[in-house]
Amino acid sequence: MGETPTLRRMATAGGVTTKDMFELFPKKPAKKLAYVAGLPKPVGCV
Amino acid sequence: MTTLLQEAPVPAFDQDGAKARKLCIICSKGSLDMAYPGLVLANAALGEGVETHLFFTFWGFDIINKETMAHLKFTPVGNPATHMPPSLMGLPGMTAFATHMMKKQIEGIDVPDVPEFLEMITDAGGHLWACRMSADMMHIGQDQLYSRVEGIISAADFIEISEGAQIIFV
Repeated sequence: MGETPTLRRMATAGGVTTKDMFELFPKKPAKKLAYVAGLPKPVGCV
Repeated sequence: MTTLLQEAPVPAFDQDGAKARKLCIICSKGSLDMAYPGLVLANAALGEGVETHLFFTFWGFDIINKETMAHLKFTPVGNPATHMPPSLMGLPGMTAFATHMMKKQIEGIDVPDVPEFLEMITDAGGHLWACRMSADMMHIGQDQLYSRVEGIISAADFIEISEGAQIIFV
């Protein structure tokens, strides 16, 4: 809680597949998602 | 009253012109603790838009062998970093116990198990390769390997694939 989700978290808790995220936000999905959401980049490793 | 509309700054996510980074990770170990470094790094690199290739060789085959990939083990034997008395390390059942503990810890921080991790990596565009010599030595064919392994390639093929790449040996 209170943390920007990592891609793994987006997939497991958010229900968006890894494939979809890489299609919608190519190359750097985590950073781009965070930017769109107005959040700092995720800090988790996985 | 006038308002100046300023364009919001957009960070340069994809720098054109900068040479595309490429990463090759050689996975040569088949224990649970030594499988993860390569997988975690591959996943991180893919998330940063880096072209990533994983090359599995020798014991690393256990990571992509359909029969063993979900059953990698961890043993404290010979590992001083576990801070266990050496006399306890080799007790019967210790490997099973240590493996169980490590799997629980990995799951506890929501890191996927090995098969799911490989699925995630390939979904993210990562490439998996198996070593020709190891396959011949162990009499393992492509049908025994994880379905997303793209091919069994020779050392020379790997050198070709890894041209211009940064290489990590695990």
